[in-house]
Amino acid sequence: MSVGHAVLVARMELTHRWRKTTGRTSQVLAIGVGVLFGALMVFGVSTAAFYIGEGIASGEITGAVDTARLAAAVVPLFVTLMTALRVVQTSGSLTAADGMLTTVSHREAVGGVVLTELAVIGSIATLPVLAVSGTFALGVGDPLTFPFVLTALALLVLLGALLGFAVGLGVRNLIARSEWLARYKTAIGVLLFLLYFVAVSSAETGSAVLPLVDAIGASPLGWFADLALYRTDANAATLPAVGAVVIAVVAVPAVATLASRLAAALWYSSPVQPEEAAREASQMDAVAGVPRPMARIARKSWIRARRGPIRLVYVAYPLFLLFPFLQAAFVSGSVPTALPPLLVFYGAWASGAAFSLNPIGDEGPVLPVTLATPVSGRMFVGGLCLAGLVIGVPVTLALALVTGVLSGLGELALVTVALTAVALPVAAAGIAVGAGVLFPRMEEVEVMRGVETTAPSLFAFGLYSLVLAVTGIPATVVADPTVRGFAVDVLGYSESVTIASGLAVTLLLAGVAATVGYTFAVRSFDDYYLG
Amino acid sequence: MTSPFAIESTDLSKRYDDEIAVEGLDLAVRHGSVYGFLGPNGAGKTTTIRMLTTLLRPTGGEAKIDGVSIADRDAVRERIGYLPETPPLYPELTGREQLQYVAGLRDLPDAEATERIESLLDRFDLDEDADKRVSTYSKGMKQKTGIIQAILHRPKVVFLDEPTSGLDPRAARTVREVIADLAAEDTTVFLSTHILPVVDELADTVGVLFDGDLVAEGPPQKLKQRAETGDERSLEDVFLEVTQEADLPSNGATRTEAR
Repeated sequence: MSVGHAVLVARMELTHRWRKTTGRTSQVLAIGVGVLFGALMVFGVSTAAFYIGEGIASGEITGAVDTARLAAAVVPLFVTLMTALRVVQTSGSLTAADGMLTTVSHREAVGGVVLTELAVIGSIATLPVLAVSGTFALGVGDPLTFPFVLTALALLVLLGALLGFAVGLGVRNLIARSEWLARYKTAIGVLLFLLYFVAVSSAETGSAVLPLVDAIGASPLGWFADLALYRTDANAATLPAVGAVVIAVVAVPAVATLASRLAAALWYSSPVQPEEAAREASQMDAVAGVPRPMARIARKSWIRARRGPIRLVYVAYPLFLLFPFLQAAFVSGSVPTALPPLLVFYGAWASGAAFSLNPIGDEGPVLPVTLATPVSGRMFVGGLCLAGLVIGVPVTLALALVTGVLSGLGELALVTVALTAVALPVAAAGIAVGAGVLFPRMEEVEVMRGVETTAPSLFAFGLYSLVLAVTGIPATVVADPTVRGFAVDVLGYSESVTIASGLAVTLLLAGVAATVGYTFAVRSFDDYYLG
Repeated sequence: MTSPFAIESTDLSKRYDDEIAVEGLDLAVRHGSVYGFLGPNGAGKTTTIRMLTTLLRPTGGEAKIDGVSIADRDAVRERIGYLPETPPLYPELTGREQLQYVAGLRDLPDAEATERIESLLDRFDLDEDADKRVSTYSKGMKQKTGIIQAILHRPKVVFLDEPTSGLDPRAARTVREVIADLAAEDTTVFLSTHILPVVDELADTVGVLFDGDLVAEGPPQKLKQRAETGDERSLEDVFLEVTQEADLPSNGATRTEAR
């Protein structure tokens, strides 16, 4: 194996990633924000490391090795999970794999990919590791502490990264060989994300995870704490400290070899291709009462979404804004009154955004053929709206009713929320197709790491969200008792009149916005030319 | 009186600002014939096809498909089938679903669509792969699916842009046979390709487009006949000769590659 080839592969891959990343303003901004928050965190952790070092030196803090063993368990665990996730998503694939594997050996290619990943992790971890090691040594008042802490942390990160690589490649191999996993990998991913959400929201998680961390801390991985604190804490023993170095010397090449074999097994395999069951082949059947072209367009949208749900990942982004409310409800066991209207708003937004916000661009290479068929704008746009509404209206209504009842909304407010849950998605579909046709996006963009799709344009998102907000706000805000109370005080009307007025304004705006958006989209499609 | 021509264009032009993509194109393609449309890369072939299929608005001139002006898009769409250079398929759908989808867009009755789809899948040797996702198809399988969806509804005029691209010899022969059958059933085939033997074998008339101008047109045999000596040359020789001869100074406006 030529190390030079591996380095060359890594250099080219890093150049490729760097140019791709810096070529997009949004990515550069995101990195900027990340660096800012990262710098704040590094500052905080380094300051804490300084005071901990000072406390150990003065004898105020005792038994530091035991606590450090827990840290020695958490650091590689975190790095392993993060790296494995990246490898499963994208990093486990070679760029231009066929060309690469017919030019260099797979070991060199693996070396290149691992070096790339280590460089990426290094670019994130180097500064915190140096800062923590340095400030801790300063706090202790012993400069020689610095190389011990630095070595221990660097070896833990390296081990975690290599283990993560092996774990990620192992998962990729399973997916490549199991038709069941290949078919349901997205659903499994969503389930794992939900479990993660429940875990981080639950107060029980800490006590559930602690035994695992304790067990890892008590394993030989905990010896890295002895290495780090060898010159600092009298309880740090020589034998475990030496043992940590030996573990690293043995484990690094062993895990690297394992990763190399797993990579070869993956890259030289023919991944299973899930064949659609015969029952699925007939899912283009007509929908009763709906014109055939419109029904087929709706069904096509559902099939595409079900088989490639990652294309619609942007629809889930606003959920992060709802996260505090959902977490509060989950932790406290009671539903805040703000949640039903917020869920109505999100449900409506998602109904429109999922299928209708980029009608022209989402056709991709099929657009010329769609335009060359006699399908009318009414059928095309109607089919896309139908795709969102058939799912969006019942789901939004159900969420509104369940959370509305659980939060103790009054009858009138509940009726308002329910009516809005039906009217707002309809308005959303109309507004979305209008905004999407006005600001189409034809080219693919990266919606998450390694996933490119023709997501709606930012202008379409902005216009759509703004108009939908203006439409929905009157009815949704008066459903919340606090806002309603304020409105009653300011306007001087009774509660019921205030609620009814909010609902009436929303229904009126919804009707106008949906009609204007839908009509504009239909006409635009009918008059659309490629150039 | 019904026009004898399935495709007619008069002075059909497309300009982008000062750039000419197609200039004053006059075409007259008879019903049930195969028209071989040749030209080097960037000559304006795809632009022409897109204008004739109502996907691009001409900046000048007029064209009719089966006697209907291309300005009447709905009526033209009822009459045509189109295979673009890149097979237009959704990767998430299976081949069968893709064809059912397009049949639905064309409002074909379910029974007729199913019968036609099954028969064409069988003919193109795709029946065993019809329930696999398009994303797993080879280039040739995608091309065959694209061809099927272009002729599924028995259009009066079919526009095929590089239909044999990426096909193995057996599939390419099937395509040639299908084209011949379409013509025999009075379907007009407008065939754009760089594979000259295909045109030589199938086309009743050949037109050569160069820099947006139609620089040669006629039956292949006539084009291949050397006027001075009566010798026969290959279609490739004719193509190279006319595209070289035509490379003359233009009439004021800039000539560029067609978009």
